[in-house]
Amino acid sequence: MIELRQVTKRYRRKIALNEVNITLTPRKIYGLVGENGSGKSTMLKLIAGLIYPTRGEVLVDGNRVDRRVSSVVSFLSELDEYYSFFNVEQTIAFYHSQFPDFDLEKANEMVKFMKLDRKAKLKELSKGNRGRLKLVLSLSRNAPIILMDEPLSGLDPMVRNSIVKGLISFIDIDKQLVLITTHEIQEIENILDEVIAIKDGKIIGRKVVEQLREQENVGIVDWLTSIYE
Amino acid sequence: MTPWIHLTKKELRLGFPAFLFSMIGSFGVFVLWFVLGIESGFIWEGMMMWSVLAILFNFFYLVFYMSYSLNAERKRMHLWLHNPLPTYKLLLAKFVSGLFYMFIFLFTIIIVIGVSYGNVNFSMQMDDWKMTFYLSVAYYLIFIVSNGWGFTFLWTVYMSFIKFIHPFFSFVLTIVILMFLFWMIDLSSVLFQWGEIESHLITGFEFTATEETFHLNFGEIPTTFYIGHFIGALLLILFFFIGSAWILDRKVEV
Repeated sequence: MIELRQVTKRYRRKIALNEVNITLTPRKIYGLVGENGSGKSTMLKLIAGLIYPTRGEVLVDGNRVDRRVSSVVSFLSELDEYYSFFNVEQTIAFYHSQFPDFDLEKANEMVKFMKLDRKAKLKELSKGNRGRLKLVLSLSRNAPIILMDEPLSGLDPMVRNSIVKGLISFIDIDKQLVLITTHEIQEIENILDEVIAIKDGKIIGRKVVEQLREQENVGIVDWLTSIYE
Repeated sequence: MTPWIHLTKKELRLGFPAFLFSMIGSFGVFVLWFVLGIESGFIWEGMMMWSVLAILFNFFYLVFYMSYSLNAERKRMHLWLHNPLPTYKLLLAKFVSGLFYMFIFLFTIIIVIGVSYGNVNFSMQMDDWKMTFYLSVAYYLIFIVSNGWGFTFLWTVYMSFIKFIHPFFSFVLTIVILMFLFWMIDLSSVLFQWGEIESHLITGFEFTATEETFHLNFGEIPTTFYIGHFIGALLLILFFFIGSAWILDRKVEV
């Protein structure tokens, strides 16, 4: 379980998150949506222990988060940076050596599913294939919490489609909590359990996606547009 | 232990360009000295001079290496720090890979010294050469290691400042801290001036270039070693090491 209690995060003069209170429970896929600079990435980095709150506290399974929360949190960054001297196979082997929960069999299965060349150097991979590899590295861990920051950003529709299929096939929803930030809402709408809207560092709405569709008869984009205006 | 070994292997690959650069650079300077030596008729003396320069560079080898490796990591801090290993192990992996390359570099210097030593009119008289040799090597290595950890400490300090202030002012503030550290080390050095081992170990030093063109002769060089200095340097290394790991763990953000 993830809890943010009165969390404020300030970067020099800019407030990225402002007194955020939120609880996320296991066995669900959450979508965190909002415009650029609304605080989505900040929230994910706080949960991953890569930054610290200016005020308030972030808890994972009741424990205050620090950098070593990475033993239970798998974080996929929006950044397109890697150890370019490795090839695909070596990158997977390196992750396998660093994370005890890394499932090599699952990784190999995903590599096949994503049609990645195991011997290709990372610097020679297309952006789409690097995006696919990021997904392999992130989902091959049997971590109880998976954080994905813009996994579809800047990728062509075919790659986005294969990544969404990868999400559906390789997330173990009975055990994992997944939090995804994205601008490509419509493409992941069908796999989300809940959607959280964020604006100017504040949570402005939270909905169960199924209820939104059945009771209010609107999609996430329409709902987001209505509360953003 | 295994994850750390794999991490160290990664560090060796990440830091390889720095090692390659140092080897190519030193080879270039070596060739330059060699050519100058051939033209002036002092080949062996030229090689010896190169060795002296290389030994001086080696003093700061770990500063150079850690600077390269840490700055290469700056672009991908989310990869480096998103790791269940404790921070001190992340830093140690970098440091051990740097030490490995430093010793290879040092080995090449030793080979050049070994080759040119017998061909240069150079002699050194010592009361107890073994003691002098061991103590000098210990001093040398401690100095290299403390430089490396000192740089790492200042890098983490700089990285922790930039989340609050502009990078330029972070740099200035880090320089101020460096000055303060120099002042503190200087101030506290008197506390560690104990345990004198032996002085005046080197009783003679002579370097003569052929055809009476160059001659150097020292009578007695005062060489005093203090056990306190070793202890002080080790405490300083420990302070830099623990300080870097603590700051990286709690104050540096991605």
